[in-house]
Amino acid sequence: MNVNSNYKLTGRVDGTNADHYDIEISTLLKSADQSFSIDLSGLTYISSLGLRVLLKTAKALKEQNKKLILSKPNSEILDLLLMSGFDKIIEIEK
Amino acid sequence: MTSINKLSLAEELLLITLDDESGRLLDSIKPFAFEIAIAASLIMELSLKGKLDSDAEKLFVVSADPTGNTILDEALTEITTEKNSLSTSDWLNRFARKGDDFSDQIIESLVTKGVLQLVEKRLLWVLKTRAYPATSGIEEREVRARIMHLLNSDEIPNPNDALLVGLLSATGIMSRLLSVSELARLQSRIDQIANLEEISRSLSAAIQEAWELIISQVPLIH
Repeated sequence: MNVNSNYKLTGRVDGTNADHYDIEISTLLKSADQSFSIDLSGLTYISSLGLRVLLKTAKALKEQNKKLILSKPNSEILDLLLMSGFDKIIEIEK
Repeated sequence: MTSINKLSLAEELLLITLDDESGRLLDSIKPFAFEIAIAASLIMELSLKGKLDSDAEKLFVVSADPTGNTILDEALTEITTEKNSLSTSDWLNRFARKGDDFSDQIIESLVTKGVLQLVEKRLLWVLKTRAYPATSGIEEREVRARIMHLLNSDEIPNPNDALLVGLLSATGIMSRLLSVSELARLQSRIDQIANLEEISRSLSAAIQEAWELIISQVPLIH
């Protein structure tokens, strides 16, 4: 059984491509089991609209009693996640 | 069956800030905070529509295509045609100067939708004053119920509700919706939700800066 589904975000995520990632991730969530992990190690920048995609993903998973895990953000992205309080509602693996 | 109008963030904010009985702006709202919040609600709505995006340093246009809403398109055009790269806070302060104009237009839109009614009264038999009581109050009750449900649960908010909580929190309106004990119990949840969005954080900082500026000028007045 596939317990964890994985996805990787790389480069920049902002208003120019947030919709694309939103649709792609939403499609993958249908086959996610217990949790869905997004690898952020290659993510260099994320804007407000990009953060909303992460929040929307976490919300969709939570409504199905599943969870989102954000893994390996670089220090700048981690600071942003902490400043926004995302760590209070989404599991972050450093 | 009564249908509920789909309202914008600015319209929801205005509806909550109008006193139910008098149809006027609540006395407890500081005018400068209200003007900045109206400015923020327009920027928030444009970001919900995917027209604007932001980070801690700047607010930027994703799409300059008109929304079809006169007030939003006026704001979007001004941001689109600005040559310099400005932060969310810069735009909040700039749009706050037009807060009165924007709020008049938003009230007009609520009257057109039948959510508010225009009542003209005469003061001292001469001066006309205007008030905007709610037509049925159903829209305001729906907004309040939605926010109360969100605050009393551990649900992850959708962007619209997270931004509205940010607006109500920064302006102090939240304290009008909740009792003192409810506010104390829910304060950390309110802060958590409001903090999720960059525009809400900029709004909170802009209101704090405006307040500090006013306080710093108090000795000069005397």
